[in-house]
Formats: sequence, structure tokens, C-alpha cells
Amino acid sequence: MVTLDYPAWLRIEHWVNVLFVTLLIRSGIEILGTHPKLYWRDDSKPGTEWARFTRKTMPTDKLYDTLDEEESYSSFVSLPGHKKLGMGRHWHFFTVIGWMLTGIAYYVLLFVTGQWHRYIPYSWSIFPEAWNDILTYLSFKLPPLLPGEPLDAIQKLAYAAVIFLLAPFQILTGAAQSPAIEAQFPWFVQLWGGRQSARSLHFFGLLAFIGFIAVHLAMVVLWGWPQLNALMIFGQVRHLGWALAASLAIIAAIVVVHIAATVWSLKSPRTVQRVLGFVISRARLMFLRPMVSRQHYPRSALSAEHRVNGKPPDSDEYKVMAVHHFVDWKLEVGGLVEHPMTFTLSELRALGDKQTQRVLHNCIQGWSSVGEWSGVPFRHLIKLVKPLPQARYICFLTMQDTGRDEPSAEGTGQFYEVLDLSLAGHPQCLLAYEMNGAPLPIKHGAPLRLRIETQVGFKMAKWINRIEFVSDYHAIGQGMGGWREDNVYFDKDVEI
Amino acid sequence: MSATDTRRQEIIVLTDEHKNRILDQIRHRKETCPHCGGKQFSVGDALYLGFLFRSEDSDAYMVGLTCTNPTCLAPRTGIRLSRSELLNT
Repeated sequence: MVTLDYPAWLRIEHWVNVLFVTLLIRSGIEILGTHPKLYWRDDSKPGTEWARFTRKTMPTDKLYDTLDEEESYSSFVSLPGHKKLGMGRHWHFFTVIGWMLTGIAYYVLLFVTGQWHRYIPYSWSIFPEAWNDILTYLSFKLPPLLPGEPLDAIQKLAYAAVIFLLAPFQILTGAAQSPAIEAQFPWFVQLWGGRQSARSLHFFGLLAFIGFIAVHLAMVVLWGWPQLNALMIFGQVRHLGWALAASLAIIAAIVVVHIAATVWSLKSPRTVQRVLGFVISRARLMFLRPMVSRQHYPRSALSAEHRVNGKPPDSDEYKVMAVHHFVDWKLEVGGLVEHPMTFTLSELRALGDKQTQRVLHNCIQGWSSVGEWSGVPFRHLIKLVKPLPQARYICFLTMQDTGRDEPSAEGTGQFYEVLDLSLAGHPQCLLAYEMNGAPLPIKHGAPLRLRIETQVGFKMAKWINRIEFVSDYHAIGQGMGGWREDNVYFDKDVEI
Repeated sequence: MSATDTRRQEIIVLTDEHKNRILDQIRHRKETCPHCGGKQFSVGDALYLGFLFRSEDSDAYMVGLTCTNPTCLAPRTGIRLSRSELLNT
């Protein structure tokens, strides 16, 4: 029988885990704040939220979008705080990569070294013992440890639940919120009751972690902070004074990392975007980019009111076009192509090969809706214009002037987004001119918008009037691959 | 799937009576085509601007006008009317 002691790897993993879990909690709260409402149904219908963390009320006589609903939380609870979704996402995904690697190493070492005995129960009798332990704690006494083990029965069960159930639960419910995973494996999302149900369950996981940390700290205090920290730092109950000092120093170091991450994100977001984004993008492209959307939701799943993000171009030119059914609108397709072309709306419609798809829309803020989109498959356009060999990206230029149209977003200038050419051949990459069997509504991007179902919503440019095939995007805008990437530091590749 | 409804949901189709009254108002306002200066228009549909566009008053509408000058290079334009102007025309 292996001795259930505190080997160095277990102690190191414990403290690394403290850092990662606290970073995940704060960055998760930042992400939650960008759409501070939780739902059970995938339409995210306003008013149907079961929980809300905002006091904002939305107008009924004016179009609002979900950027208007965003909340600004303090840096004390969110990383980095102050309505910085791009930064929150970078920290959340960067940390989750580290946390998962740590977790895999932990699992392997637990089972290779036999230390799994400390967590996995041997007999059903542990449940009545755990109940007795709870009663003992409630009478302000300490229960006995299990014979030859470092934990009492309720502690053993609690650690087993956190390590083998809660941690995988958080990873799986997080993955269920990835548009790429949802697009490739719609059954996986349904397994959790849908996209919004997965988001709500992920929130319960957050609460469970916070609850566990609170009880864990209370237990450490009850059983003896210096003694237990000596075990978790030195591996033995010795040098209690030093153990106390070292535990406080480690906690201080973790706090310093949090402060540094917060200050770095608020003062130099572009560097954070580049550095953390480099790591995250590699992981995304490796694991999520190969996924392809083949969704086709039933008509009964269509959202009665599909939520909106972005506001229509507030120019007379656009309004005149709209009142005349966009007869004067033209789509220019050019750049690195053999055959630059210009299309009117009727010419696009006359191309034939109209494709319709009923799909789940994932906003980067966390809400979702189900819509039916019809239009020209992008691969059809590619066949017509024939991109040159050096073309690697597609830049979608729109009629939206963000400074004029979208005051809730930081930044100004013409909205554009860049897509990798490799994504344009996906079977559900679509230039949509219809929604739910009618002309594309103005608030959803009329007369033409992009649909690329493995990405989050902001990549699907609306109110498009020009498409440019390019070899590089670094000279466009601020060079990050899109208006939101430039101005609010989102990632260019957004499969999650 | 069902056939496409080609009617744009935001568009308000005006009656001939409304259109005639709007033409009277255009003549009264001495509106001219911003491109060729023409004074003759045909009236199209209306679009409620107040809800969709952030700079617009809550009762703002746009009515589509088409300049009837055959030499006009950009004949499609519009006139902004308030709800009362649109309903009382």
C-alpha cells in the first residue's frame, strides 16, 4: 500500500492550481459581465433570463443591441475588469490551456504513483461516514481521519468530486459553448440541454468552485493553518513558523500575478493580445479549426426574435437605398482575383444555387439564437472570381461607421473583418441575403451579411458592400485582422 | 422549405391616395432632386427610421422618391417626414 503523503509534484500542482483557478474565476466573471444574463433556452429571448447581474433596462422604442447590455465590473472581481471582454477571453483561454495541462499531469501522476487512493473511495460505507463527519463539523468538533489516510470521509468525497467531476464538468460545459464544436457535434450541445443551458451549468460550476474554495480555506483554518501548509509546502509537519510565512508569501505571489495581469491588460492590451493570443491561436487552429459545420436545426427551433448585435449604418445614403429595396446597392468583389466582379442584389439572387441553413448563432458575448439563413454559398463566388494563388485571406468591408453607429463599442472607423480563405470553402460559409424566408432585415445586416458557422458572431460581417481577396491583412486597419480585433482586442480566429 | 416572402418587412406600402398627398407636399416644399435638380418625382414606399437608426427622432419616416427626369443619373432619393406629416398628407 502506497503511503499517502505529500510528494513534491502534488505540492507544486496544488499551488499552480490555486493560481490557475483564481485566474479562471476572475476572467470568467469578466466574460459573464459582457452579457450578464443567464438563460435555459437557446433563443436568449429578452425577459426569459433566469438570472441577471445588471440593473440596466433596455429601450422599447429604439433598436438596442447586446453591446448596450454589457456591464463594467470592478477589477477586484473580474480580470481585467472595466468591460474588457477581449482581455478576459485571452486570460480565460490561456489559463485554461495551462490548467488542463496541469490537470492531465496531475491525473497521470495520481494513478502512476498510487496517490489516487487518497481520493477514490473503496466502499459505500464512506457515505454514512461522510454524513457523520458533517454532523461532527456542525457541532464544532473535528471528525477522525480515515485510517492511514490524510483526509476524513467528507473531505475525501469532496476532493474526489472536485477533481474527477467538477473540473471535467467545467471543461465540457465550456467546450459546449464553442461554435466550432457545436457546429461539428450538435448532439454534444444537446447533451447539456442546449447552448444556453451549457452556459448556465458552467456558471453553476463557477459557484461550486467558489464554494469549494471557501469551505477548503475554512477547513485549513480549523485543522490548523501552519500544520496543513507545512504539509503542502514542506511535505511534513515541521518548521511551522516558516510554513506560515511561506504560505503567506505564496499567496502574496499569487496576488501579485493577478495584479500584474490586470495592470498589463489595462495598460498594454495589444501586447496581451499578441502574447497570449499567439498561444491560444495555435491551440485553436490545431484542435478546433478542422471542425466543419453541418447543422440543420428543425424549423420549430427557430428563435421567434433573433437577437441583434451591431447597429445599421446611420447614413442617408443607406436609408435611401433601403427605402428603395436596395436597388442601388452593389457588391464589389476584387483584390487578388482573376475576375473582379460587381453584383447588384438581383444579380446575386440570379446566381442560383441558393443555399438555406438553420443554425445556432453564437455571439462572443455569450448569447445565442437560432436562425434560418439563405444566400449564395461562398464557394460559388470563389469559382466565379477565381482567387489568385497568393490570396490567403478575405476582407469583408461594410457600410457601418462604428464611431457614428456603435457608440457602445470602443473605437471608430469603417467596420471590416478578415477571414482565412480556407474557411470560405466550408459547406455552410454563406453570403446571406435572406433570413427566415424573407429579405435579410436591416437590423441583421441587409442587404448582405456573412455566415460562417464555426466562428462567433462578430466575424460574420453585416451590411457588406465590398469583398477583397488579400495576401496579408497586417496593412488593413491596425493590422489585427478585423475592426473588433483592432479596437477591442478580440482574437482573429474565434472557434471558441 | 417555404417559398421566399420577397416583401421587406420594414417597408410600408403607401396607398395611391397617400402618394398623391406626398406629391402635393413635395411641390409645396419645393423639393428638388439632389442630383439633377429635377422637380418631378414618383413616390415609392416608406421606411420607419425612428426605431432602427440611432440619430433619428422616434417619429421619423423616409419616403422613397424617384426623379422622373429620364436623364438623371441617380434618380432614387428620399424625403424624411414625421409621423404626423406622413399620416396627414
